[in-house]
Amino acid sequence: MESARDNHFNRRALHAAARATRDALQDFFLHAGEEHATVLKAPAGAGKTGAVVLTVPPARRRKMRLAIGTPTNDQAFALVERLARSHTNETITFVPASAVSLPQQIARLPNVVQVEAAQANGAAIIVGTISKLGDAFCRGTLTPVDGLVIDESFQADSSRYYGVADLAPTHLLVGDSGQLNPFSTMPDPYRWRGLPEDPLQTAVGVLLRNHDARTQVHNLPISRRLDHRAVPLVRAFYSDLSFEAAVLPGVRKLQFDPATATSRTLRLVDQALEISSRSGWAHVELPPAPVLAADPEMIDLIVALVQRLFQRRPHARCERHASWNELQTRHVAIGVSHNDQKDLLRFRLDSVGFPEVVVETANKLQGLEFELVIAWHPLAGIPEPDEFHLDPGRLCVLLTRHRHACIVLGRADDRHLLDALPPATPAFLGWDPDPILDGWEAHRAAFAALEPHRLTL
Amino acid sequence: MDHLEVALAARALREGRAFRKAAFRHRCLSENPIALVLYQLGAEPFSAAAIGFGHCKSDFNLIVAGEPRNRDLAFAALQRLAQWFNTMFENAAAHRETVPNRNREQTRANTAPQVIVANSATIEMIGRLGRRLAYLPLTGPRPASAELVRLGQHFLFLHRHAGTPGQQLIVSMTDLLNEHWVTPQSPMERQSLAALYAYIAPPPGLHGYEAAASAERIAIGPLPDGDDDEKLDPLVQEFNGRRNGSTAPSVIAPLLAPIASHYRPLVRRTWDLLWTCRDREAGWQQAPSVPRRWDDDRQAYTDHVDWTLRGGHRRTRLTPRQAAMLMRKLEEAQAIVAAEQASDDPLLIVSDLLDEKAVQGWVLRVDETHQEIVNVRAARRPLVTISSPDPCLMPHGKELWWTRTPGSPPYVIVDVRAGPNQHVLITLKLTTSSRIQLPRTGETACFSAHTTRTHWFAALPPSTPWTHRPSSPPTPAPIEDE
Amino acid sequence: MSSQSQLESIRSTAPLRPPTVRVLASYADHTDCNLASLGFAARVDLDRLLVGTKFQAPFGQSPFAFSRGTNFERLLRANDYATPLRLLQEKMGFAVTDARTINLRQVHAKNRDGMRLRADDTRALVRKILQQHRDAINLIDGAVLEATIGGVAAHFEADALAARFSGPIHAGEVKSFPVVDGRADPDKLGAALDQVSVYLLLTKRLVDDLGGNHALVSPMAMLITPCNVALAPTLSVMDVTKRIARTERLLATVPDAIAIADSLPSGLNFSAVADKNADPGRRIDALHDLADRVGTAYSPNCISTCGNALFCRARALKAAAPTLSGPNAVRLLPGVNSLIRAAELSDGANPSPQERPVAEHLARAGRLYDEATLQAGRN
Repeated sequence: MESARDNHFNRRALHAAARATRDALQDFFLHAGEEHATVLKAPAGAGKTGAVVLTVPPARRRKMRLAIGTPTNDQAFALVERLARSHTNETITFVPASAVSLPQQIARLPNVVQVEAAQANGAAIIVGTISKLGDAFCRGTLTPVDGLVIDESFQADSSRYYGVADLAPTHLLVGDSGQLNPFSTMPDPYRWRGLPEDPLQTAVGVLLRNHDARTQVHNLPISRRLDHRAVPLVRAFYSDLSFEAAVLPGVRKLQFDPATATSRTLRLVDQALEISSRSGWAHVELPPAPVLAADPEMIDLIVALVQRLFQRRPHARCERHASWNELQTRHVAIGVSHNDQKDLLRFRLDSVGFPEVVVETANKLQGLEFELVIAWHPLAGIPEPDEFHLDPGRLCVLLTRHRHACIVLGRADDRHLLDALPPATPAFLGWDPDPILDGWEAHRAAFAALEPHRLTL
Repeated sequence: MDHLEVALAARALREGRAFRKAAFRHRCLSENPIALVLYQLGAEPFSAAAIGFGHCKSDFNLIVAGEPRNRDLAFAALQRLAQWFNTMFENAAAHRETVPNRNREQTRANTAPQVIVANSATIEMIGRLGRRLAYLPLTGPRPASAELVRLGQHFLFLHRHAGTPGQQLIVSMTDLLNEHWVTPQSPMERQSLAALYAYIAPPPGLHGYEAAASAERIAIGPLPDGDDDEKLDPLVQEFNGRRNGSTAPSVIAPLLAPIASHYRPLVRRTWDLLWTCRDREAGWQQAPSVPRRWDDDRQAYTDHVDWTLRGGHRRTRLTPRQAAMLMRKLEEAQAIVAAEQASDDPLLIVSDLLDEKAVQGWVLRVDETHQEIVNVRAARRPLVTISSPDPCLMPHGKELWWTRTPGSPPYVIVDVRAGPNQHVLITLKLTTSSRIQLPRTGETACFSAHTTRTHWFAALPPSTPWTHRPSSPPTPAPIEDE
Repeated sequence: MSSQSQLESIRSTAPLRPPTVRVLASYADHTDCNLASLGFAARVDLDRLLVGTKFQAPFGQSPFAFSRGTNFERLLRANDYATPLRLLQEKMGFAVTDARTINLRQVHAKNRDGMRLRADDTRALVRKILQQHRDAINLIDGAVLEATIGGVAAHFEADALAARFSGPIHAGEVKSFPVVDGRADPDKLGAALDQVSVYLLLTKRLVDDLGGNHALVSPMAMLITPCNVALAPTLSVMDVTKRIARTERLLATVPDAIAIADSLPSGLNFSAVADKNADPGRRIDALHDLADRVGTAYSPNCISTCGNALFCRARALKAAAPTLSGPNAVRLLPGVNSLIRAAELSDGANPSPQERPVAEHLARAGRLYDEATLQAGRN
């Protein structure tokens, strides 16, 4: 956690965040022993996991045993590490799913143990995926604890929450509502949409649906990942939650070595790099043209951008690094919407010597953080927008992974798709969101916010 | 849709006829199915104005309700259907085999009934009729017959089962044809069985588009054609006038003739088309994995009949637990059916090849003796190298299954390099030392991301946790509100 | 010539369709089609325009479907709207004793003047509501709202009911599709909510116009439908704020029909198309003339909502346009504007530079398919 004395930080934001965290934890612990849930909502990069980590000392003081669950294995691993490093006096007990095991460097930590569920009973702090904890509880191998904390609870679906909910009477649900919703590959995933039994509701959704009156919802009004240049755009994804950047303006600096462009493409790429280093954003538009999802021209541009980026030796300074640090290739990620975009980019980048640059779909980028992100706009070159491409969660993930800069790439008539009228949309009793209409608004707001940083080839 | 489908749609438009997208037939077609044709009255969702039924093309039977908006008359018609249908449907359950299932044995009917209908709208209507009939009271002021309620329960079961990927207990011809053929029509247009069939088998000399454009004006049901109902309107009025409020069978039966005459050609037309489509598809060779899925269907059927005949009822809505379990079951069924169909059918795997989810090529080399150190010990890990004419974009470590052994442990890609003749050499390593069948040099082998291996499902507790129970339980609505 | 009479001369002798909320809501799907916009503004009934030609729209509604709808409505109107009032009390908590109701359809004749009078009455009734008049009406049926759309003023008749007790004005649509076990057909529900949204937006504008605060109009739309398997009604409530916003955009972006009309040479209008005495081929040609002039935007969605769909589909067929197969096909064929060309590319034909990326995929698909077909044939 930052020290409030540190002059890199917005004190007001830090205080507000500390207060919100304190209030949420207080609410959680106040109701220990009762069937009660507290929700802590936060925007991307808020440091939610930090809030989860803060549950440990009060729990230990009250001699409360905690189980902490996450949707995915990777999230569980990261959580074990954070908990272990933050609370070196506490033993962190990890219960792995079968055929899964903690990465070596985490398993090696002196206060981390990895055991079967049956041996975890009695442990003070138990960590696992929600599925594993639920399964072990259901089979009777894991006995109830006093408090259940769920991280990424907007990614956890109602059916997983069902499995683990009786593990403890008192719950703390932490999560980011802006990201992608749970989904299923079943033939008709909207079959139960709006009905209380819908297994694809988020954990927070089903909780509020059934216990709205007695569930306190707290907002964590901060982002530690995004800086003040990114916040105005990202607000479009969080209509019911206001927040500020933790880090003060000017603290984050990204620079590139000077260079002379020898082609039109390089000139464009250089401009994009320079704009993004100044404003935190750049929006590069290729000429309008109908194109395939895995648009070869865009792939060429992205490869050229990555090559030029590293040719110009990017270096950064920030609240974590007082002196200039050169960005490594693994600090850069390219976010896409489709697997074929990913496959082709991966192939090309590997063949030009950039195997460490991350290329992933938005689904896989959820929860991750990078120094610089190249975002292939979901609407790039599409003739007609649809629910998948308009999904505000997808765009939100792509545009909130970066600490220093995000370069958005698309085509010049992408935003004009949204000048037309949104199509007619289906409706579901008991379910208010409308992914197409919500997405339409969010995308329009994002384009508007990118306008000052736009470059057209 | 992918580029294969759009290429076939394009070719279909050029040739004026549909293109086959599967080499096999991936649904079984029983010899003596239960065929049903249903017609609604206008937009009345919960009653049938006309019912065609039989177990072979020449066994055509027609029932009309007369005035289906009248409960007694609607039920009288459905009762006549129930008397025939229930027997046909339940018969198969009498002859069982014993099947081992983990720790216990269970019985499974040797065969199961198969219901065939024209389109998925008919399946929806069967679901609505099931919903109406299954919860009727057997006692009280307006009791329904046990047979009618059982019909409703069978209909509800069929409607629910219809959503299971690959199932074959209730087959709609539009779904069957759309699974196996590509036309240039949009998805909505392909819901008209007549229009779809017209593209598959256009009259000689006529382009599929023209044939379909005429055919799509033909009403197939359950929704009636507006003009047909215009003609029906005075007949129903006359019928109602003559019966003068009576619903006694002796009064009704003689009055039904004009309405039956109205519906007979309409229902018969759908009937004939239904059988023509079925018979045509039956001519295609059945895919090897179909019997395994039929085993699942037989089991589902057996479980349903046992439950129903023991007096079991199903809720109108699923509990959160049931919905969660069903979701997983459907996801898994979807993945397994896709894997089986891709493994069975060289045409269907093409989509995966295009999608970078599969690779295919000549087997150049099989090294059965290759070994690796696994957990301190040397273990056999056979290597297979294929030569593919197409580039491979899949990364090292990607898990793939040989399409002949989709249920075994996977292979992983260990090497991709350029070969002669602009081919690509891909080396895959089998991740097990078990002696399973390996590809042979000289033959074509295909490796895909499809597998029929099942996943571990987290168990779910039998009781609903407090989070999933509403804090103020909703007042239960009466099930039967007639 | 005034714009009104200009549009009337464009409709000429073609069948008339007065604008209703339902018509406006279904036009919303075609604002990118100039022919549809022209037809909408000129009040041409596109469903009946091509009767007697091979492109006649198969839209005949079953009299039984019609009567189911009217029976349900009749049930609701019975006893001075006793049932909707009871539902409003049970579900919305409105205090409905001694509610005052009115059905404006019964007050005026069903003609042009009648619509105008109903619109005037609607204004007056809403004004009373805003003034918190002691005998303001609580439930208004058969309201008519005015709006200017695409430069053309029109009266819109609504199926919905307007309800105001204390608190905001609510609108409720009556539909005869059922809500079964808490669920309604998603597309039908969406369409019904879009219709209420038009009604709510026009009501907001009326309130604004009368000097009131349009926040008084609630975005919580009500829907009265049969519940489960019988005709007994139930009331459902949905927040339509976003749909109202969409409707606002619809009204703002509707192309100026006058501008489209102006682009037509004088004498080119719908009469030649509608003329039942003329040779059907000539009628179709006349529509082709209009379509060539103003432009169309066919997609398979049109089939269920526009009477010209079969005509436009035939035009798309002539061009072998990818849109025939739906939006997915269009997305997969950028740079390839005909399905015939796509077929050639799948055979391995040489692509132009702009066709090259797609051609690669099509050729590969075609080759793999042909090889697999050969292999399957051998087995």
